[in-house]
Amino acid sequence: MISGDAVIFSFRNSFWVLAALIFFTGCTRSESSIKNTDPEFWAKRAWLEKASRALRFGDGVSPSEDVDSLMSKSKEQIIDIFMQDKRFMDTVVDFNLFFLGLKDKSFFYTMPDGARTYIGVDLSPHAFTAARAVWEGKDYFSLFDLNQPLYLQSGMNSINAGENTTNKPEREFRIDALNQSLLETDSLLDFIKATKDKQGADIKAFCEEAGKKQQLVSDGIEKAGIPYQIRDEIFKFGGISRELVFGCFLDPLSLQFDTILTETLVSKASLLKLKDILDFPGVVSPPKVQSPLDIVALKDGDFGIQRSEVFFSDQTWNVLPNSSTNYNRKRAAYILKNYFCDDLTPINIALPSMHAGNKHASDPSCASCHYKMDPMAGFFRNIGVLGNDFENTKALVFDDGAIVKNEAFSNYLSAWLAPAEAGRKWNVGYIRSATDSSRNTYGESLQDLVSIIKNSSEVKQCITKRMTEYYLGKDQVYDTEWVNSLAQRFEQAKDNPNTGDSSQAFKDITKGLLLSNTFVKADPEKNQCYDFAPGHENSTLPCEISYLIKKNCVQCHSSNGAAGGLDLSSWKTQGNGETNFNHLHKAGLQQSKKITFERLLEGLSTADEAKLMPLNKFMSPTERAQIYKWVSREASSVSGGRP
Amino acid sequence: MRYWNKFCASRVSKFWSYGLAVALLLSSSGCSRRKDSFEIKAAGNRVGEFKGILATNKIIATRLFKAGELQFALSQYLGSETSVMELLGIYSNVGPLNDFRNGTPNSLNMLLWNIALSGLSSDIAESCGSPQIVIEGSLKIDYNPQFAERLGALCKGPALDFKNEESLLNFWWAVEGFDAPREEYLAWRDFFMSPQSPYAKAASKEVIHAMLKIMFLNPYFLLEN
Repeated sequence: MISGDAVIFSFRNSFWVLAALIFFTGCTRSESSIKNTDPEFWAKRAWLEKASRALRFGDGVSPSEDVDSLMSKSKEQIIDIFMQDKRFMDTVVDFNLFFLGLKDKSFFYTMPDGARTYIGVDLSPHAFTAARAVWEGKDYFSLFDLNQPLYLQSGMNSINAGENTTNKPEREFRIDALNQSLLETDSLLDFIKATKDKQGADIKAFCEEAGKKQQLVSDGIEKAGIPYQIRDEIFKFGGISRELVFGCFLDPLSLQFDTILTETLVSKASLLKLKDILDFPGVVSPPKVQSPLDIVALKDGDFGIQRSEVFFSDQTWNVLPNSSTNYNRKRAAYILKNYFCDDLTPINIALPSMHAGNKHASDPSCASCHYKMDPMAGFFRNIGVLGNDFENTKALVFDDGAIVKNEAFSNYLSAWLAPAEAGRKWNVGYIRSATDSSRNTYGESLQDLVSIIKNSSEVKQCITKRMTEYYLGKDQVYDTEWVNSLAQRFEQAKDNPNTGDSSQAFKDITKGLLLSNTFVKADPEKNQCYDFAPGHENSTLPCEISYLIKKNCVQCHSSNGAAGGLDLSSWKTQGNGETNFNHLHKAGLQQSKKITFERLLEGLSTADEAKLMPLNKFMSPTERAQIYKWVSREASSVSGGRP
Repeated sequence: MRYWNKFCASRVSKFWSYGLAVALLLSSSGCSRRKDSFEIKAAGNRVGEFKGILATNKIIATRLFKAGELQFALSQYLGSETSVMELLGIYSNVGPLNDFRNGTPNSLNMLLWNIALSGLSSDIAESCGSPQIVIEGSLKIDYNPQFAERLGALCKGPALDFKNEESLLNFWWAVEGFDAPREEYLAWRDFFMSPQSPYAKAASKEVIHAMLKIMFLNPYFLLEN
C-alpha cells in the first residue's frame, strides 16, 4: 500500500529526475561542439597531428587510432609513444639523409604486400646505421663511422629460382657455382705465377687473359646468387686484385707480380668465406623488410667484407669528382657544408706571410675559402676515380680521366705537404684560423677526419641546427644560443662512456624541439625567434644575431665603452628614422645606417689583421659568416641592393 | 567556379603574399568580382613553402582512405607526365646537391594544385553514397570507415542540411584535420551555413565539391608550419 505522502514524494522525485534528464540531454551540447569551442582542445589536437607527422615519417594521426587516449596524455608522453613507433626509425633515416644533403624523393618503395625495398641503403649506409642505433639505444654517432655494415637489400639478393635448371637442391647449386669461381681463381693464380717466372712474357696478352679469368670468377659468384653488394666489395677495384686492375691500366710494364699474387690470395680467402655467407640468415632468403631494422646487415669484417665508403657512394663520387684541377675541393666543400654547417661564405681573411707563395690562394678573397677547403680536401688526396683508394700506389686516376704517375703524382701530393717548421707532415685538417694553427685540428687519413667530426663541437652544433631546420622549418630564424644549448646534450653524450647516450641525446633534442614555442606557433614570423636558452636576457638586437654580437662584439662595443662610437648592444629606431645601432661620429651625431654597416662589413672582412674585428680575439668562421651575412643584408637594404 | 568566386573574394587580403600567383589564380577564377561576396573573417597571414606533393599526398591518403592504401596518387590528376610532380615541391636532384625544390607558390604550381585538388574534390563528390572513390573512371579506392561515414552524412538528401553544424565540423576535421586554426573552420562554416550562401539550395554533390576544394586549397593545408 502506498501512502499519499509517498506518492507526492515519488512525484516530486520524478519531477526532478525528469528535469535533470531534460537538462543533461536536451540542453547540453554534443561532445564535438564542446571541443569545437575549446581553444585548448584545438591547440593540442593540432600539436598532436603535427607531432605525429614529424615523428612518424609524415603519417598523421589515423582515423582508426584512439585519439581520445592520446589526447589524455601529456605532450612528453605522446612524444615517447611516437618514438616507440617503428616509423620513427624512418624519420631518423630521413633526417640523417637531410643532414648529409642526400635527402631525395624517397628512400624506399613499398610492394603491394607491404614489403619495402630501401633503395637508399646502398647510397648512405651510415644514415641507416645511425637510425637503427637510435632505435636500439646504441651509438647515434655511428653516423660518422668510416666502416659501415654491408646492408643487403631485400628483393635483390637472390638469383631467380628459374636459373637453377638442374635437379640439384638450391644450396648445392649455389655451392657448385662458388666452387667454379674458386677453380677459376686457382687457374688465375697459376697463370700469374707462370707469367711472373717467364722471361719476356707478353704483358699485354697477360693483362687481357687475366681480365677474362677475373670475369669468370665474378660470373660464378653471380650465379651463386651472392648479393651484388658483396661481390662488389670483393671486386672493389673492378677486379680480384687492385694491382692487376690498376697496373694493367696505368703502367703494364711496371706490374708488381708479387703484389698481384698476394691480393689474389686475399680475394680467394674471401671467396672461401662466401660459402658461409650462404648460410647467413637472410642472405639467400631475405626476410620481409618493413623497417630499416629488418634489413640484413653484414657487420664490418664479417666474412672478410669491409665497407669503407662512409662519406660517399658511387653515385656521390660522380657528383663530386676529384678532377685534375679541383684536387678534391668539391668533396671538401661538401664535408664543410654538411658536417660543419660552413657554407664557405666568401669573407676576406688575414693571412700569414708564409702562405703567399701561391698567388691565387694568397689573395684574401680567394683565401677566404681556400684556407679551409684545401686542407679538408687533403683527407681525400688518395681517392681517385669513382672513389677508388690509390694509397700506396705511385699513381692516381682522376674522375676526369687524367692520370698522374711517379713524379707528377708526388707533385700532386705535395700540394698538401706542410711547411718544414709546422712539425707535421701534411697540411691536412679542419681549419678554424689561418693565422693561429693551435686552433686547428690536423690529421692525415679519412679515419682522422672521422675522429675530428666525432669530437668537434661544430659538428654537434651543426647536427642540432639541422634538426631544428628539419623539425621546425628551414627558413625560420632561430636564436643561436638556444640551438647551441640544445646541442649541449650531444656534448654530454660525447663525454659519456655509455655510447647509447648519444641516441638518447638525439631523442632528447628532438623532444625539446617538438615542445618548443616555434613548433606550436601556427603562423610563425620567419624573422622572429620564439625560443631562447635558459637564462636568456632580453635584447633589442635582432634575435638572429643577438647572441653572436653579445658574445663576440659587445665587450668593446657597448654603452659603457663604445669603441669607435659604435654601441652594438642596442638596436633601435634612431632620430633619423633608421633602425640602427647607436653609432656616433666625432661631433656626437648619429651616423647613417649606410656608414655604420659599411664599417661593420669592413671590420668583419678586412685582410688586415690589425683591423680585423673582433680585435685580437678569435671568432669562429661559422659565427663570423653568420654575422657577416646579416650585416650584408642590412647593408644591402640601405644601399639599393648593393652591399 | 561559383563557390570559389564567392569564398575567395573575401579572403584575398589574407592569402599568400605571392602576388603574381594569387593574382593570376584569382583573376582566372573571377575573384576580382567582389560585389557578390559577403564578409568572412580572416585568420592569419600564411607564408611558407608547400609541404610538397608527397607529404600532401600522404596526408590525404591517411585521412580519406583505408589504412595502408598505396594506390592513391594526386599526380593521377595531372596527366601522364610524372615530371609535373616536380613542380609541386619535392626533394630532388642527385647525390649531395639535393634540396627541396619548387616549394614557393607561384602561378604555375598553383594552377597545377588547383587542377589536381579540384579533380579529387569532384571525384569524391561524385562518390556520394559509395564507400569508395573512382579515380579517372577506373581506379577504385576504398575510403576509411570514418571518412565514408562523415561524407555520407553530408550526401543525404538533395541539398545539404545547413543546420547540422556537427556534420560540418566532423567533415572539416576529417579532411582538414587540425592543420588550420579554428577561425578557418568558422569562416568555411559560415560561408556554407549562411542563408545567403550560393549553396543554400544547391545539390549535395555540388556543395561537397565546393567544400572539399576550399579545404584542400586552404594555405594551412598546403603550406608548411
